[in-house]
Amino acid sequence: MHSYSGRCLVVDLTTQSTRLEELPESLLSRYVGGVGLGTRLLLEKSTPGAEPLSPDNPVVFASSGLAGTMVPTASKHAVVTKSPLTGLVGDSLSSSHWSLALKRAGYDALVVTGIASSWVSLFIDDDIVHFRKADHLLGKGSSQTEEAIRRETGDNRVRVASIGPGGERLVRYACISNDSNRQAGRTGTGAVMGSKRLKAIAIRGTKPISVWDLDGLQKVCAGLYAKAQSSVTEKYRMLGTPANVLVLNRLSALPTRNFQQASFEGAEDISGEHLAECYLAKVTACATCPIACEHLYRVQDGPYAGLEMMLDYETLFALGPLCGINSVPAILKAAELCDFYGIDTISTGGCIAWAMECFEKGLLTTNDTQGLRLSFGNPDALVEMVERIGKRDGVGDLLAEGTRRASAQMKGGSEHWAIHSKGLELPGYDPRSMKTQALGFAVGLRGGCHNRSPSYEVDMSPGVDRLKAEPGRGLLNKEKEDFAAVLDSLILCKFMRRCFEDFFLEASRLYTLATGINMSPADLRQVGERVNNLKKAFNIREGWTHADDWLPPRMFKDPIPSGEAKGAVLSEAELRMMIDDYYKARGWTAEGLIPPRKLKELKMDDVIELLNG
Amino acid sequence: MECTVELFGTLRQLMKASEVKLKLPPGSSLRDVLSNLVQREARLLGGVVDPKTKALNGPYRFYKEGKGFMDDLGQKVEHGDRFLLMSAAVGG
Repeated sequence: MHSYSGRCLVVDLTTQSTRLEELPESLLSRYVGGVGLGTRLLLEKSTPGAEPLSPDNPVVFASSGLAGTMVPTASKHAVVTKSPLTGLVGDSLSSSHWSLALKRAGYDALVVTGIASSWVSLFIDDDIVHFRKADHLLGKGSSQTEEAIRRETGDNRVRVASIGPGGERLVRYACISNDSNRQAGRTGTGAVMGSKRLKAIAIRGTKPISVWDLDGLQKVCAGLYAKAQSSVTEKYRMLGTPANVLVLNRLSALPTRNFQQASFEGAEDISGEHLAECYLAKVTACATCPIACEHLYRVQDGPYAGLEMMLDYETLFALGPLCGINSVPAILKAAELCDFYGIDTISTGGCIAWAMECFEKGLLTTNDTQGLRLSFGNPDALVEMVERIGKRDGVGDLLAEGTRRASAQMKGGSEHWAIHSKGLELPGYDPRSMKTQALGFAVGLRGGCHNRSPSYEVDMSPGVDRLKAEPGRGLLNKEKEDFAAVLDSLILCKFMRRCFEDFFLEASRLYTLATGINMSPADLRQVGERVNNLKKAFNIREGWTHADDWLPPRMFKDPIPSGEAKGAVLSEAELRMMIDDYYKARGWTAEGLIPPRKLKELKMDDVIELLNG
Repeated sequence: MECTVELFGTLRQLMKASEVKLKLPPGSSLRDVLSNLVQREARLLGGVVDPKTKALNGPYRFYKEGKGFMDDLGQKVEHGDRFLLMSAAVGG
């Protein structure tokens, strides 16, 4: 076996002890890495029914067979844990140098369990693990933490993943940041790390990574690098994902003012086109990425003059139209604060938008907000609320719980506009005007997510009526989910997907060339289905029910008021039909449960044993 | 016969316009629309339009207002039609 080390490092913070566990080829080849391997380890290492913020909930960092090799965009890792936001599987990806360091230190996975008696950081120096006091790092953002740890270790090559003040305060959608500006952003992995009093994980990885067929891999990768720098990925380099703003706006799919509208009159002001013309400072990339989709923007004047920040579409939508904001400087400032506090930008925007609607409907007043006029479109309120969430200050403490919990506490009908699925705030695609994506959001295994269920691609395909729910969408959504699970387990950036002529043929070959493990296209295809069934199995074990696969009331009651999709709304009957269709496509029962024969068919006997045990 | 094409993303950058109005002979198709756009801006060839097939490259597509996404370039254009030409959503 090449590339893989076959080693999992298990760290128990309670006893401050470590041990190595073997990851056999049979397990690695079936779950591959990333989200697949991470979820498999989570299922094995966690106590059924454990509270997400308890010592019994491990946080798993999983590398992959392609990480650390020359395969473009493979410098990634997954973080998997039981989410404090959803109570179900929480998986999130990040990238760049920390991902490489984990692999070069000689580990395919790192599992952290228990809880430290006081704040600590880990320093994984290849085979040696140091537990270090971390009280002096509290209150620091990820960049400051990274700088401090590098200073202390005297080595600028040490890579650091850390939580910010939001994670320390257990904001339920806190993230884990690495390399200063990369985040495992969604589902609250940073809160789990915070609950363990683990501020940071620093790694110095110096070991070589071997591949099975260097010449063969080089040849295939040369082609991929060329493709990844061609016109196929040009759109990512030129405008980046903010190019979505005007497209989705025109299609009435840009969630605006907490999904009250689906188009935004200020869209031009925050569009990728406008950003490129007036704010772009630099285009940059993750480690080993030839695509370079990251756009760094600079504020030239005003109160935030000099501020530089990267933005992708999701951050832009969530801190922009979702809150009715068309001020680019304010959005950049809010994004910077999210990074400092280490909180997910989508959930942060979702929570603030929910609170703005509460304010406008009188459920929150200036008495509750310490005088802050929390109205849609108020850029100062946006920036201030990010601070308060990060500090859990005043109403920020309520919003730090996420919209599901906040609305259950607020009541007054605010559940109607708590826009989440399974507790995870929805990303920037309006499900009323993208009905396959509506299904994807409803059944999403980590909650409503466009990355795990990227069915907007179906809705934006010729021959598909995005405004209609039709039989067959279940299978289409399943295929999108399984493909995403393969990418998230290999791990490859999703922006690479168009660089392959025949993805499963070429990617399975890449895997074999790197690891020496035989993987056929059919095997790789099955990995996607296996990983999604694994995540589902975890969710079922943790109490998922049929009723969890659903969408917020607004999607059924409030038609889109204007624009290209004026009048579009989702009916409960059509969502139910699509969900039934999806369960059937998956080979699940009518209640959405996995029959044991399905797990056997997917060669998941180990999972059956774990579930029975 | 006149139709309008709204432009998004890199298309807008290349053509330096957010929309163009095209005058076409009756019976024209979407292929004629595309060809007309390429005549106006040759840089569309390559990144947006395949130089060999003269069809749109992978992620680029037409959307007909009030109808939906289209892939048949043989589709006839009617007077007053409004099309959006875009790269489909890119994630993020």
